[in-house]
Amino acid sequence: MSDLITKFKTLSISSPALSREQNAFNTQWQSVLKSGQVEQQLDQMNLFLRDNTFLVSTLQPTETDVEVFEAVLPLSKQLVSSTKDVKDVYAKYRHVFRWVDYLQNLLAVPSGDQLTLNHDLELPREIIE
Amino acid sequence: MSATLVINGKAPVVAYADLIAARIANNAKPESVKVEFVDDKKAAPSTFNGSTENTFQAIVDAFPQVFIDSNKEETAKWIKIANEELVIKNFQKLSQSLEHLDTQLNLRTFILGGLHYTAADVACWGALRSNGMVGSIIKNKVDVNVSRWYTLFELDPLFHEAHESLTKSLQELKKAATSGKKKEVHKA
Repeated sequence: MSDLITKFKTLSISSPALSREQNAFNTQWQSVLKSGQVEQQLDQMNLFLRDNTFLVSTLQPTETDVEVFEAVLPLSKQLVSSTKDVKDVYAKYRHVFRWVDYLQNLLAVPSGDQLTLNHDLELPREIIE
Repeated sequence: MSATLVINGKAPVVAYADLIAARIANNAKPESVKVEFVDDKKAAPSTFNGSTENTFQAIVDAFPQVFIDSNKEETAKWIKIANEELVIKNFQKLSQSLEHLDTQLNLRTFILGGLHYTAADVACWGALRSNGMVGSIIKNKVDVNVSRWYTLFELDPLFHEAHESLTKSLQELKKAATSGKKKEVHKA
């Protein structure tokens, strides 16, 4: 078991019974994890987190959030550090970054390992066509 | 002694934020606030411990252990925005206010950031819940972040069942009133 999951379990966040829909989301993200395709699914994940605060569409984060977060944190840091146009990356992955930021604070990831996020960076308004 | 909150179900802007705040306080500690309902177009939207002024702030201040405010100034700012800008029915003005909220929620899960909702979220959510203009705007994802944020609270019974509890209590009031009338008719 990963350290982050162990940490998550100590937070005593209740895990409610999942609805059928939430179960389907859970299965979906678990299979992404198993396939090792997290990076390829990042756009899809951003889209999902646009409409849902957490990955299983729950009120509070679940273990699946924590497991996926573990894979996404290094990817997000890489995205931010490897670009000249930070604003562009923020705009494209704003929902993933919002979610990463929530989890890194929840799990008290050491500040040196965190994704550094400027919460007040002015981003273009997102419009759904 | 416990506090008392009176909610007017017929107010033009129903004080959902006050009702939800009381529900949150009661959830943390049962019977913290006695909630009563009236059905009177002329009455104030809500009365907390006898006062009709700044009721939401008064409830929040009465329960500092429940509404942990790390930033009083920011909280007060958003309560003001909720009361003045999110309850309006003018579509154009409301759109601007929602855009402002949407920007704030770009990289934040809750209005003031952080890991848990604060009084700022309760105030804004309650204001939007009372505004008949808002339902379709949320549903159509005009402001994507606002829609995501608003939908999260619909998963929380303390928020989404507030309306149900209000309607139910108002129906009971009406029933009580009509059964009273019948009695009078019978007497005559």
